[in-house]
Amino acid sequence: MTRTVSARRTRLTAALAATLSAGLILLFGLTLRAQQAVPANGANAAAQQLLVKENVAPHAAPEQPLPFSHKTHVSRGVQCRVCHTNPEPGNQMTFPAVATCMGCHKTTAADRPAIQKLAGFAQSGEAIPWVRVYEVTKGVTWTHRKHLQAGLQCGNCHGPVGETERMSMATAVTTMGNCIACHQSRNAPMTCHTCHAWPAEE
Amino acid sequence: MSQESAGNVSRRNFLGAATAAPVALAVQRASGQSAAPTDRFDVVVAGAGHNSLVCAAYLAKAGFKVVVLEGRPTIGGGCKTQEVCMPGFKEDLCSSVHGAFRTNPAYKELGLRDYGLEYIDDELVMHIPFFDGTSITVYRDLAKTCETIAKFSKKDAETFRKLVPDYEAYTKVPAKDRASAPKAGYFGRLNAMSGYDAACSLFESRYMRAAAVSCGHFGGVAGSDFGTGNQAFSLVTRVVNGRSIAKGGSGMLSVALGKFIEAHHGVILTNKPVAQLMVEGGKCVGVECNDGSKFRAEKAVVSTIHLKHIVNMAPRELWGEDFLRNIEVFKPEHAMFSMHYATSDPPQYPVAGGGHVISTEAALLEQAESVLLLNSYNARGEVWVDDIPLQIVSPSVGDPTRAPAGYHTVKIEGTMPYGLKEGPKHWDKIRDEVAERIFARLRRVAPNLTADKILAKFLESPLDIERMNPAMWRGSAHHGERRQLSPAANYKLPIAGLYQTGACTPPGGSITGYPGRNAATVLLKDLGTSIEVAGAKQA
Ligand SMILES: Cc1cc2nc3c(=O)[nH]c(=O)nc-3n(C[C@H](O)[C@H](O)[C@H](O)COP(=O)(O)OP(=O)(O)OC[C@H]3O[C@@H](n4cnc5c(N)ncnc54)[C@H](O)[C@@H]3O)c2cc1C
Repeated sequence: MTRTVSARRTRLTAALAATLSAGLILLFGLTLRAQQAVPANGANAAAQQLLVKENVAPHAAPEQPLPFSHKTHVSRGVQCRVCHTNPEPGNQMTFPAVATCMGCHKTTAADRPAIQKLAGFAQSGEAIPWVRVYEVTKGVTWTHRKHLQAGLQCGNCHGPVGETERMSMATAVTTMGNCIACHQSRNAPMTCHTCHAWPAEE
Repeated sequence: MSQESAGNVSRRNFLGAATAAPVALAVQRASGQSAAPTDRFDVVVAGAGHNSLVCAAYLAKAGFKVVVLEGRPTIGGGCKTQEVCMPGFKEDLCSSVHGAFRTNPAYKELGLRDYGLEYIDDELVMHIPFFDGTSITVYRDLAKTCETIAKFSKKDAETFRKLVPDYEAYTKVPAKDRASAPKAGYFGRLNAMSGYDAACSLFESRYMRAAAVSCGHFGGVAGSDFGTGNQAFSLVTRVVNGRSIAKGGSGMLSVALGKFIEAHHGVILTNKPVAQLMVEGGKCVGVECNDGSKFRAEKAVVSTIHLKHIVNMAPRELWGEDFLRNIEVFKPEHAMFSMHYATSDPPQYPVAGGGHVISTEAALLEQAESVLLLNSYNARGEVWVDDIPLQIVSPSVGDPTRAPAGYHTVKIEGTMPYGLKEGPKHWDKIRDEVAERIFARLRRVAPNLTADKILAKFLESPLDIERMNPAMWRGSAHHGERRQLSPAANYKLPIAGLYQTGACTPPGGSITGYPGRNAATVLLKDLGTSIEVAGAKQA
């Protein structure tokens, strides 16, 4: 049942996605709500069905300062929240502090050139200039917190990131059409003011 | 005088999601402008529709220090393109076709091509398919167009063949001299009729009548009213002028204007809804935004805020009784709705005898008589979809940059009542169902658009259009009923120092840029210079 981002981008997928999402919401709606309100394990794919549209646009992974692989880390049991803390209210997830990386990489794979580059960032005290892949649309009031509290997990919106080598914008989660479709299907609040400050409703 | 800010006034990336990202970055690098609390501005412009941006661009070009304040996160108003369905699918949220703007001297005087504005003109201008499988196709090529008309009526094809050069010669004469233009009596008579009557007078075929009337009325004034006769010439003007779309999206015009303003030391701030006018000693000296930030203008304030709203932004006695009474009776127009789809196919319109047409624009209307019902449905606040004129725009057909390779954008728009008998909010309940019924009409003539071809959708009811842009008051795409006299016809409002532009001023709505340039003409004169001087100045 799990839809993966690498699934074939056929025209059928789009229709299937809609049907599956709707069905899954019915099936798992309650379960999702009952789950913990923090990002779960990225490898826990069964509970992380993609609830938004898969992106058909060419979504090349941006060049990152380090060749980081989510797959390598998640397959070793690292959970999303270990690296991505959610500052309140969490407009955007944070990238891990270099110290967090070095917690393991002081010893793990320390001889690899990429890890040596990482150590270089740690020594200089410089933040790693990661390129953000998903941006919250400007002028939109949005928080990760609300969505996590509603029982959503990372994979519901970002797809099976833990199965990918290089992070790319694989889903259409940042578009208004997707916000509306998901809010509609889950009976979530949906006035203009839910997400936009202006204009005021008459 | 200074711009005071309660909070942090940061210059936003106003281009944000507006159009292609590389362009946005180029602007940021090129200008590096920012607004600091100590900044001084000659002119404060409230609202960033394409008209107020044109006005601001001329002022900036003339050397005045300008700040533009837009309430929404993105500039452009009805001239805006965003990826609302799926990343990579650039949807024109309102306008797509920019015919009239190209005739505006602003296009050249502001050198907008240098700021990334590029137009695309398809040879195949418009396709009008009918449920019975027949169709009319309009090309820039008159002979080819006449061939498709001749399938229905040789007489209509002949009429059309003569009409195109005659009407072109007539409309080339400036409006003020039209009375002495060639065939002025004939065209004047037809234009004074209703669009429906004029179409019936010109053409014998019911298909040709429906095609002419539908393309003349996708919003605004119904073709049943006297004085709408020009709607019957809609196919003629399409052959003469084509239907220009901006490469990358309608919003590229706003982006180009934004870049121009920034390159001329202007500042553009978004998420800055103007809530109050600052008036001192009877003169408008600035504006206050709803976050408490204040922007003072040393010379003038220009507004594109809807007249119905701006009168609530200063004490009523300052406007004068006459003006307020005029605003009270200012009328909305038939509202518009707009439905956007990210698709894996363009609409393919099968043609009799095999094959199909794929076009950037198409129109649907079965019977010209249907436009006679629009006023009635509008007055009663009832939704009727069966045979309202529909405009289908698939810009990705003519402009592949609008969608990822092999995919398309489809927009369906037309007119619907804003004031439903159950109240405008009822739109939230019926929007999806109405959209389905309208889409079913498109599917009858483009059967390839099965459900699996629709990747995502974004629907705007007339109420949503107003929510997105309060200047489109009551869903009025042109800010109000187009024929009414503007209460701000001279681009000045009753409070000294306060100017008005945008679709509430002449010549009204659409992407023409004329209200913007006209307002700049008046203001530049008051500032001791002229539009000619500003226009001729090296960009
Ligand atoms: C669905 C649809 C399709 C259309 N298609 C076409 C087409 O193909 N061709 C065509 O020529 N025309 C078309 N139009 C009409 C055209 O879009 C408008 O007439 C035109 O955009 C009006 O431009 P404007 O600059 O006068 O004002 P607008 O574009 O309406 O801009 C007004 C701006 O002011 C801002 N604003 C308002 N109040 C405030 C405030 N208090 N503070 C700060 N900012 C404020 C708004 O947010 C907005 O950005 C269409 C319209 C619609 C709705």
